[in-house]
Amino acid sequence: MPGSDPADGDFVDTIALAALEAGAQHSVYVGMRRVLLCRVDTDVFAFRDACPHALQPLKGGAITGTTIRCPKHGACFDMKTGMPQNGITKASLELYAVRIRDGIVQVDAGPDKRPNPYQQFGG
Amino acid sequence: MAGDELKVVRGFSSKASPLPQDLLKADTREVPAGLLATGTYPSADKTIALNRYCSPEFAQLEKEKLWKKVWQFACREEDIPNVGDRIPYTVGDLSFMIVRSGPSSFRAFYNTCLHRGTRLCDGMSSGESVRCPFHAWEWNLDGSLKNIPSRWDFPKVDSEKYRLPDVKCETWGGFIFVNPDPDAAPLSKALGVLPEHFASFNPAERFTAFHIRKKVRANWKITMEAFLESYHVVETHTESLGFTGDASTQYDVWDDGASHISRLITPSAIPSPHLGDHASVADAVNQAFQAFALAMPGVPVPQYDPASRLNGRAQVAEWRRQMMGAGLGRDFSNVSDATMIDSIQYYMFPNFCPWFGEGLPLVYQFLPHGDNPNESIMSVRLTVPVPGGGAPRPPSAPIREIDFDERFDAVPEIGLLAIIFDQDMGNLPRVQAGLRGAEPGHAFATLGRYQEQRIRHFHDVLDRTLEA
Ligand code: FES
Ligand code: FES
Ligand SMILES: [Fe+2]
Repeated sequence: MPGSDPADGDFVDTIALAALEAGAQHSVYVGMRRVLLCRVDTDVFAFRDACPHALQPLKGGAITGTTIRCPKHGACFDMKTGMPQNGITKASLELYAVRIRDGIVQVDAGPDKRPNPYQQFGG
Repeated sequence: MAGDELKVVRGFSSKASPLPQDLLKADTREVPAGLLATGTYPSADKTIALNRYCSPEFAQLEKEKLWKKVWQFACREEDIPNVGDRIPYTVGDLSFMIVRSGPSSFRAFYNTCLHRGTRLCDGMSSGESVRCPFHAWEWNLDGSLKNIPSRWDFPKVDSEKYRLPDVKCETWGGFIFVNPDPDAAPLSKALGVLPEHFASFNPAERFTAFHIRKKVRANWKITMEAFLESYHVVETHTESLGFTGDASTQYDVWDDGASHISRLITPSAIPSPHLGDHASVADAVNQAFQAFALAMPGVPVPQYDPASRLNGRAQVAEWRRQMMGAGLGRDFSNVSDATMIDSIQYYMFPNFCPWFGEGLPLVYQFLPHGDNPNESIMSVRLTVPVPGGGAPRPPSAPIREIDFDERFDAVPEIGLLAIIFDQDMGNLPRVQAGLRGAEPGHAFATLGRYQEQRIRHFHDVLDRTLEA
């Protein structure tokens, strides 16, 4: 579902904020992107659930402060800026804008550009 | 070797995740005979010397003894739909121009001008004749010499001797193959079991819905081998485990000396055996629905129905039959569950990987890039059945080039496949870099006896080919 005002980005509803307790992580699909939602105290961070080192899921990675550590090979990222914190990758997290509307976590992961290969012909 | 007496374990299953042949018994439709057939080539241990992936001498040997001598997959007929259309097929520093010379005839020529050597065709192009961009020497579509500007200046050029040199060119199922060896046996000998196994799938009646060419910083064999086994899924595609029978994958090899074919069947909509006997089948089905739906935006994602008389795999298959049937105006009602949802990939030596079925109807092609043994090109197509009901054949998708440092992520139309390919692509330059720095006493790869047997078979055939 797109956000109420189409002019202000591509925010889509994900889960209720109440379902994301402090310290919790939850992965959702936004279009074709798997997005990891992480709650730290009152902040919610959203980023692509694919570590830029080898594109593995970050879900389940240990969180210290606002740093998440990838469970696979140990890359660390600051969830506020997306910046890598050690040398294993120089690439940053793909961060997405988050807002809360009516108690729902909304995420803007950009426009969805997928055509449907089975629906564009015949039928 | 003592190890050879060990019994081969043919895949690893769980209570929640049976082996493919057991899943086929529960199929709601008649299963194509090819899927029930099993390979005849024995599995065994093998180590592979790593220098064959990086030595320029080995690449040169491959050019002379492999690429100049065997049937290889060049392109699809629909890439050059009209008479006079042509497209290059470039393998290392060899290049051939594939031309539609008549309504249903094809020819392949060395892609080199007989005047001073210019490459004649750099990409999809068209015309009644083939004309060199440098001085305009020109040939007819049958290869006969048409014109030489300032013909008076070339009194010794005999038109018959200046026909464009051609190479053998044959087709099967809409696929075009070439063989530069003038003494080669017909293509049919090299196809082996493919025509029989693909009879129900009818690859000729499909079109290319997307076509990507990716440059990779790894030897063509490293790139190819990464796609011949499902052993890497547990580590490289972890998020697929919920709905993929990776460890239960069935591998088969057929080799009669003239044809060298292998296959894998990775079942879908069941949990990975790695997740144990109590892994959730319902979750597997829901994740499979989600994965297929990712390539179909706007289509509601169904949910597993525990009350249905159909098992989970059959539910996903039935939804796919209806979606594809409605979208394409074709009838899929007799197509087996496995054909609708599983990942079934064939390989024909040396560069041709056609997938079977609607689960993942891809075609891969693997090629060396120039004369650099550390680089390759992988081409990926998705083929879709041509629409029924008299609708016109859709045009073949243009080729989307992805450079070394670009990701498949730049092509959103491929849905979930983008991240899967990018995960694979991430490994390849690491393998190439690592193998070049191996300790000399351990400069070999060690293959799993069952799960990596297709790689072993490939190297057996490569050895035979290079020694010939
Ligand atoms: S995938 Fe995250 S550190 Fe390697
Ligand atoms: S674990 Fe297989 S190549 Fe490293
Ligand atoms: Fe892979």
